[in-house]
Amino acid sequence: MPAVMAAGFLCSFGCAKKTEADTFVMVDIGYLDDEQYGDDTTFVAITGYATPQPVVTPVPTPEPTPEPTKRPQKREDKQSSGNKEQKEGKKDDKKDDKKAEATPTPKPEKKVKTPYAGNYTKQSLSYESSSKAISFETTTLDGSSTGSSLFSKNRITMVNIWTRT
Amino acid sequence: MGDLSELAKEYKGSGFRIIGLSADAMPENPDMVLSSKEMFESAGGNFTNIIASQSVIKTMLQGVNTVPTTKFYDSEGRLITVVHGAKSKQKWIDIIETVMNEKA
Repeated sequence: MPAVMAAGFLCSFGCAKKTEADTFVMVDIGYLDDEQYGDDTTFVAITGYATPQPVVTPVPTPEPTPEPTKRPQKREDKQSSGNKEQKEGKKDDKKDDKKAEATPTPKPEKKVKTPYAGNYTKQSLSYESSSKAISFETTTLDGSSTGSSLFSKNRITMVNIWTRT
Repeated sequence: MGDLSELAKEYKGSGFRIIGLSADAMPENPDMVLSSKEMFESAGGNFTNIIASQSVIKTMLQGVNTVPTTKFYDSEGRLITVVHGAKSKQKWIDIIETVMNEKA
């Protein structure tokens, strides 16, 4: 019996060792024929073979596919782009406003009522077709210099040409 | 000249202005300028009166054969119409009002 114990001890030790080494050890303990080997003889056969441990390939647990966050991003993009467009539109509007400010429309001249507006007989006048503006420089009878600017201050200027003789 | 002086006063501030042009008063002849001034003032002229400089001769006096001749210009110096001869005050009013209503 001490041999059996020793074998079992070794076996357990071996098993432990082998197990650690990823092998599997089979221990076969049997009793031999009493006639051939006697009563107290115990045969312990230890057959150890490495059984290839099935390679367990870890199946990666499928991670939950993240919900596509692009759409909201796209929406955001769209929104942001929309906002951008709106902003750009606003900017354009502002630009237009600025342009409008920069180039103000000419104010229509106030038509001042003439003193005889309702008390005159309409005349049949032949109007000139030429649109060439004249430019001149001269002096007044008082000696002060003047020129074409005489016309610019009034809507209509009447020049009466006369002579001393 | 007296009628035109009255009209110049009446139309003041309405966008219409009367200017006199003394065609024989040239800067080269100061005596003529002086005598024109005296005549203008004695006739009751109270509005601006210019003399015939070379640029005035080339522009406003171009094609003028009779005096008095009256020309109407817009604010940019474009000729609108020409009226020949002397007119009464009422006739001037009719002409001025017509131009002001049709071309101003």
